[in-house]
Amino acid sequence: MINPAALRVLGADPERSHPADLPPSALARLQECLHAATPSGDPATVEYREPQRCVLQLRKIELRSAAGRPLGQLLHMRDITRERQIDEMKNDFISLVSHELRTPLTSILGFSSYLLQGKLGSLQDSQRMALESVHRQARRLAAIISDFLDVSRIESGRIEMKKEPVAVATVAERVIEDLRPQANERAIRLELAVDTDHGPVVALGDEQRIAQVLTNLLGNSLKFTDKEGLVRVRLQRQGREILCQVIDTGCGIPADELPKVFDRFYQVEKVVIRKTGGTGLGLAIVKNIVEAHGGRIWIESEVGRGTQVSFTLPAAEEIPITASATRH
Amino acid sequence: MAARILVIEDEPENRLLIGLVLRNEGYDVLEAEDGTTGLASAERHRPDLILLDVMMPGINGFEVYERLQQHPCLRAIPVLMLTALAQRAEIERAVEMGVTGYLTKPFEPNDLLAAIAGALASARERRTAS
Repeated sequence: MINPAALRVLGADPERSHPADLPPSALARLQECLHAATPSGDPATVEYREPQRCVLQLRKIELRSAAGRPLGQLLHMRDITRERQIDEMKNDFISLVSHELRTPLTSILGFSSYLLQGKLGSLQDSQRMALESVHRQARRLAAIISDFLDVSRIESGRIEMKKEPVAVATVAERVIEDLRPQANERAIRLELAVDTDHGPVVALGDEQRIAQVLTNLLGNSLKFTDKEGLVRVRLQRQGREILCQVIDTGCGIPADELPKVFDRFYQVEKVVIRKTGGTGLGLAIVKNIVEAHGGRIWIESEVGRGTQVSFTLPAAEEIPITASATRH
Repeated sequence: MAARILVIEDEPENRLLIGLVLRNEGYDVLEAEDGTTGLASAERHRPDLILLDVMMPGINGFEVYERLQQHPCLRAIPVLMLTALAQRAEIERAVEMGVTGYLTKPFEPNDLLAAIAGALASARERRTAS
């Protein structure tokens, strides 16, 4: 049996075609679809260019009797051409935004940075102050563009997460060293505690993305922790997971705000965010990356005492290789 | 003698920035506004290093790189790619193709200078070893 919609997507005329007498082209497509479709896991897709573009998502279901005897197969075909086109348009738009916004920023950041270094002559204090503002804001804009692109790519599933053994402590050390100057400015202690009693702290994941998660979380903690406070990263293995925690003695988040912090564009207090220069996207990116690894993330906080963000990553079985210790 | 650097970049403001920074640091700078002009300039002037933008009208940076690799006299020139794409697939493609390095726009002049110094030093080492 074959329904009219299926005949249409196979390129046959539902008014004229009989299921038992399909035109050779439609029969060939049907056989190709049956071959491509898998009974379980992610649905397969096939794409035809003629007579017009058609993208089909396929699922195959094995039909069996109550006794388990095979009765046949059910092929489910969904026309996803329009969805695919919209996705491609979105991707093109993202590439355009990425290119068109980053290109002018190169000159703005580059010239302001070069002038600030005094390479084109000495600057008066007021000139320096003005240029520093241009440079700071350009950097902020670059970070916003980067965050937007990340959110978009991650949410559309177009970001590839590598699955390699990653020595999380090495990654954390690197991130901490990168952020130490920022911590030192306000005399905040930045610590790393690695508990290896329950096994090696080696995750299975994407080193660069794990570093991005830690950078975002530590960056947040540093922003919201007062002078002479403490920000600590704690790492340990818990069964088949690696538990990572970023703990600070910052201002904390009110209980009623906690469920919303991982939403896109969420900002606890807009005034504070504006002062600290966030985009409201950092935690949404973090959550997406952790979940794309198959991990979980949660937050605990108390106003005036501090915040603890915990997330898990799948542990690498045994210890084949540790992550590269080189900087990227 | 100052190292000669060819900058192939379609965006005039970025050429202005890169040219100014490099000349200020004592490099001999050649500029090309597209891939075709860049390839002709490379063939004529045999630069010590090429800074190559990826997204350009006409032939893009990847195609320029491929053509450089096909040229027996130009394939050894170190190439640093400049990309605003910042997508891992694009960067990995550049690395797989064998480019010496890449910089993601926007970049700081110091990062550019450090990348150039590193690429020139590696090229010198290779020449000495061979």
